[in-house]
Amino acid sequence: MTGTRSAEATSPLAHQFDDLPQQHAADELGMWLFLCTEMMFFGAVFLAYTVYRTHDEAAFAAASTRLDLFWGTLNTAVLLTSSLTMVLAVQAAQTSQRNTLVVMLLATIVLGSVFVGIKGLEYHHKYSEGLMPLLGLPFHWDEPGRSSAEMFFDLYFVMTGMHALHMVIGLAILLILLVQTLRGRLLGDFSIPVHLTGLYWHFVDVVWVFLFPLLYLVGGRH
Amino acid sequence: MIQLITPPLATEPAAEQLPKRHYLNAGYTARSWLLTVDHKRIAILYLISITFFFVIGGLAATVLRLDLMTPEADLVLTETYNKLFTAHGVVMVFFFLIPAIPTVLGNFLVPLMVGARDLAFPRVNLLSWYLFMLGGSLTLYALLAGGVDTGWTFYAPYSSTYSNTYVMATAVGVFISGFSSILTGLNFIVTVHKMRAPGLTWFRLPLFIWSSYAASIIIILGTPVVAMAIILVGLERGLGLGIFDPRLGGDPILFQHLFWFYSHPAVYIMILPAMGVISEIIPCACRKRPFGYAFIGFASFAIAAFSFLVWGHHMFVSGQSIYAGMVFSILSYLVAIPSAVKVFNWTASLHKGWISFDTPMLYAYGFVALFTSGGLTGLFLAAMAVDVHVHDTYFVVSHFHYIMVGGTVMAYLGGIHFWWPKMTGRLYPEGWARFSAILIFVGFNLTFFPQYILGYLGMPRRYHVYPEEFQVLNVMSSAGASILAVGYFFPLTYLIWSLRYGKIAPANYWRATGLEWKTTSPPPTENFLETPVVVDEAYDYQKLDGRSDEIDSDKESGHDRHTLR
Amino acid sequence: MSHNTASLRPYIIVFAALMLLLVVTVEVSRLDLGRGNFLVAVLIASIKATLIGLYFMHLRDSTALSRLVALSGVLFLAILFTLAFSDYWTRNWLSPLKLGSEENSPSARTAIEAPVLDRAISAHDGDTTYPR
Repeated sequence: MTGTRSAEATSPLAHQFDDLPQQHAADELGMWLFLCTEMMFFGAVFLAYTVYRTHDEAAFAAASTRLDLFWGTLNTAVLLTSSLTMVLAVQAAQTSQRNTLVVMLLATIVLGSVFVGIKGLEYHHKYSEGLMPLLGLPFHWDEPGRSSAEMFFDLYFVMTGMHALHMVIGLAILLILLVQTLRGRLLGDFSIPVHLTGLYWHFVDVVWVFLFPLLYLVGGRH
Repeated sequence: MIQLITPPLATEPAAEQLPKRHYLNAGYTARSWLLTVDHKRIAILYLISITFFFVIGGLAATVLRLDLMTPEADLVLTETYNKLFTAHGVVMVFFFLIPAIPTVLGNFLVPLMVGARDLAFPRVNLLSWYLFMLGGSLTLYALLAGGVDTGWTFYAPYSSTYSNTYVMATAVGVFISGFSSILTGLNFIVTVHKMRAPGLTWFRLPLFIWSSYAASIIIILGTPVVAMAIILVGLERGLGLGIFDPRLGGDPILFQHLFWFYSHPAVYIMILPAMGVISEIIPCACRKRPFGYAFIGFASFAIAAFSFLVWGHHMFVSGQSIYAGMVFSILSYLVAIPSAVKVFNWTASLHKGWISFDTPMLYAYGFVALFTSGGLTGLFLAAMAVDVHVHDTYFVVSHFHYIMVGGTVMAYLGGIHFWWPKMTGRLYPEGWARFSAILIFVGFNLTFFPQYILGYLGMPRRYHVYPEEFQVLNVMSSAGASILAVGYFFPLTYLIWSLRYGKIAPANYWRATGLEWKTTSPPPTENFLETPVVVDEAYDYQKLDGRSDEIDSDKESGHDRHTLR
Repeated sequence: MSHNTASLRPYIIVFAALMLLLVVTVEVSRLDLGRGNFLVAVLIASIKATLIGLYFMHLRDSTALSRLVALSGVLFLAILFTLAFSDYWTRNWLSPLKLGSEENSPSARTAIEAPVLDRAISAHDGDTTYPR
């Protein structure tokens, strides 16, 4: 398919590629390589977490109980659901089902926003409980293992903050996709951006899948 | 009977005129350059930027070496000296050595060598250059506004808590340049996998492609880890988080683990493309297939993989467990093996080959000698018992300068000269070029060989005050540095001169194999008028030169490989 | 790479499995398994991640190269963790202090060494020939 250039439908084929399958294969490989870099990026801070947890498991467990288990669990469910709606969006885009695509993109955006909103709520809770050891704010901890608990919360804010930043970027991209869809684009042969965004979104979900138990479920919550 | 190869012509004669249409005259506006997606133009943009940063880093080094001519701190304040060696390190490592060969030669050559019209993601390529410029500008601002005094290694807790200098801006600048690097590596990997011309199987690829691909793997896997390390330092400075703060039970050595997990493989990002350049020059100059082509290719991948296993050898005396040190020490000896295989193979490629003294080959000879020296001293350092004495001395400084300057910079210059006719359509003046190559080699050795001795005798690195008995060696080193600087000045001048006054290059000046030589010099924007179809094996010099001798049959090695006709 | 509506089922099944595993991971965390809590949590998370990777990210239907890229990330993270922990787990083999306690932190170690240093200095009180 060489692609004809008409006023409305320009070919999705870029000049450096010979045909669409080659372009799609290249796009997908490129996105996986990018996700590999993201794996290494988050992995580095997971190393920091693991090192400090092994230093003082008890303090980490105690600090972990101070996180909102209800909101954390709900958030996990919300994010997993958004992954489902995302994969359905990709399928709709590939099969040119415009209305389904719009609905699924919207659902993913809503669910993702709910996630970020709940995260903000949790951060606010931590701030008001004096468990946000940033910017010189007071850290209220009377039990033993104070420095390790403070380290736990430092890691909590770094890790969930990095994750939330990736979520926000994902939401921005999804909004752009939604606008494009409403203009009649991103269907069929033109659906690769939706596919690639889906890969990114699922990856961000996978990061949370690891974050949730390691931050919220340390040790027994008896 | 031993037959010497005497090719009918070592090089093609100069051409009458440039091709009518090529990538350089495809547009003259600033917009056509600054918004280009042509990989060749982006390579030229990088060439200019890289040269600029090399000069900045070189200026810092000049002041350092001037101050080191006397044992007292009499040229600059100690705080300034700290900022100068930090600037030298940061600029040279992140804004010259890591990008240079991949972004200049790699960007230009990778699509041409695989027979493609461009890289897989041309717009991402342009973004990569803008990110590089953004990161570089930010870092430059930090260096000029007041500088950083942590050393290029940014160790916590000095960088995260105690330093009063522009750590944040520099860290952000380096972080952004890391992104630039990742995008380039990503582009190369996808291009090599998905855009090879018909008939171009993996074992017909030029070794420069193998090396660039291996370097790209390192970029993808390693850079994000140092990106996180930098972010954590930045957050510690900016938000008061204490990930590396000992007061919270934090471990500064954790920073070193995360930092060196990238920064050791990073040195292989610097050297692998350089090795790739040498692997192209030597077969062409010797007029024969490189010895052990497959071994050289596999060695590139082995180096990339093993490079991730050895980072702790930078931390032998940091407080790291001595048992971990033993593990890293043994693994460090392993990583030397594939590099040695390459050196043996390049040397063996000279056997029964044409011995050329053209400029690219002069740089190649220099590379093999100096890289070997630097590499061998790496083995000294890998032994913990030796490292305890020479860690943080000039021995280490000399070791890595032998590899980075004697290795990468010489390969970069050799590659620039080798592909200059292809990139610009002009020939550089061979006499001046040979003279410069020799001057650089002499200047380099005079600069850095005394530093091995200084380090062995105990002079610490990053000091500008030293005992008087070290002055003679320091003066020798500084004198050598001045010769080296002059040596670098010559190519800068005559290469620019050649753009206007140089003889016009034919399409294949060096009579080399490789798809890049099968198009015009300079190439048209789309690289090839027709997509090439590859039927020859790689480095088929026997066929190209029309020889019937058995030079390429590798009979001595036990392989009976004959090249195709 | 196109699917028809009939193939929604795999997605629903995987989603249900993911939600089930979420419940499992929360419930298992209520048990006190000591160090085992960490391993179980990571194991369950890995299973969820694999499900998402294979089915939602279509690794099952992708090229071997995509799978290799994904696995490489995991492999090199394993290298990072293994070799870094070769340091952390063996750091105190030469020292009488034990891992996993307040005594182990660098600040605590200074607190332990300081009295020793004080005693060494005060032992030489009055000795004008001893260098300070």
